[in-house]
Parts: sequence; C-alpha cells; structure tokens
Amino acid sequence: MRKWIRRFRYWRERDARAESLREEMAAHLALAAEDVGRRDAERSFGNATRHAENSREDWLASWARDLWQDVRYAARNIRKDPGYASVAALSSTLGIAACTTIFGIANFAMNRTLPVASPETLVAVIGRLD
Amino acid sequence: MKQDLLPGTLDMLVLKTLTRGHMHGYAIAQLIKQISAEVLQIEEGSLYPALQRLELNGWIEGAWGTTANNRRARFYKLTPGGRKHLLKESQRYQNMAQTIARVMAFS
Repeated sequence: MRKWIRRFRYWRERDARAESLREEMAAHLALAAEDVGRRDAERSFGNATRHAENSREDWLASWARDLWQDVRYAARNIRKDPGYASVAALSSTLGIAACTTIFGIANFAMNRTLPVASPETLVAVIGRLD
Repeated sequence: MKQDLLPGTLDMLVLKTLTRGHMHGYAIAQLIKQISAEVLQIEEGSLYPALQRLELNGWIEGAWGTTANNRRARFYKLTPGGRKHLLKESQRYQNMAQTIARVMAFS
C-alpha cells in the first residue's frame, strides 16, 4: 500500500521530476567536464533528452507492470478461495451498511430540523385527564 | 555498462556504492569505475534510469545539494529499506555466482 502511495505521488509530480532529472544530468555533465573536458564529457554522455525519456519510460513501465501483477494476484486469490473472499465481501457489506444506517439516524436526529414551518415555536404539551 | 551483465546487477552495485555515504550520480559512476579497475563503465543512459527506479521503490532518497567545488548536484542516500534490499540482492547474487561456478566446474 505504501508503495502505491509513493508511486502515486511520483506520478503526480512527474513534470517536476522530469525537470529535476534534466537538471541533474546537466549537473553530471558539468562535473564530468571538470574532469575530462567538455568535449569528451559530452561525447560520452550522449543524448541527455533520450536518457531522460528512457528513465521516464522505465519507471512508467514498471509501474504498469506491477499494477497489473497486483491485480492478477488479487484475482487469483479470490478465485482460489471464493469462500474467504465472499466472507470478506459480506463483512465489508454489513460494516458499511451498519455505518450508513447509524449515520443516517444520527444525521436525522441531530442535524435536520423538523418538517414544519417554524420548528423553534413548537412546544410539547403533556397533560393528564383525571 | 555492458548489456550482458546479469539483470539487477546495476541496481545492486549502485546500492552497494551508496553504503559509503551519500553521493551524486557522477560520483557513483566514478567510484564503480575506480573500484572495478575501469572494467565496469556505467553509462549515464543506464545509471539515471536505475537511480529513478531505485528511488521509486523507496530504496534510495535524492536531494539537491552542493559539491565540495560548490556545484549543484543531486545527492542520493540509502534508506533502511534499501539496505535490506541490498542484503537480499547480494545473497541472491552470491547464490547465483556459486551455482554458475558449480556448473562451470562440472566436467
């Protein structure tokens, strides 16, 4: 689960990350140029845009593959043990239903005004006929 | 890097290099080249995808900083998860190397 949260964040920040990666490669090139001279550094580095594209494709592809794997794993487990899966589904259903019902009642009792013209003027009349 | 390295080896080498402390991409490539006596030349075209992949998996963390010569660079450090992954990978690698050696010694 944590993995997917991280991946989702990564995906959401993809433009900033691509920019950061471009900067990072430029920084790499600058460091290499100090060591071996700009021309050699550039030659050995190759096409920075293509490297950035590759990096991006690399993690996008691994994301898609892992997601597909997780889905298949889940589907396989459900098929292997349908009893367990239906108990899980049933208990989720009951849990959600109970929560919804209680919320519905509480919402009605605490938040709604009564369906009359001016509810604040309502009074309770209690009497006894002797 | 040569394409015929065992898959996953580059990731393992990068993680191993980072056990020395945090380092930018260029330093990682240089260190691997030095230690391997220039046999392993890591191309930028495979180093940066590897760094992205490792970061995506939460095994390393990158942050911008400045080098000793006051240049901007992105420094990577190993996370606890990365340390664990490195241990697993190096065991897997050692098993694989031993297995291959056993097959090659067969006569």
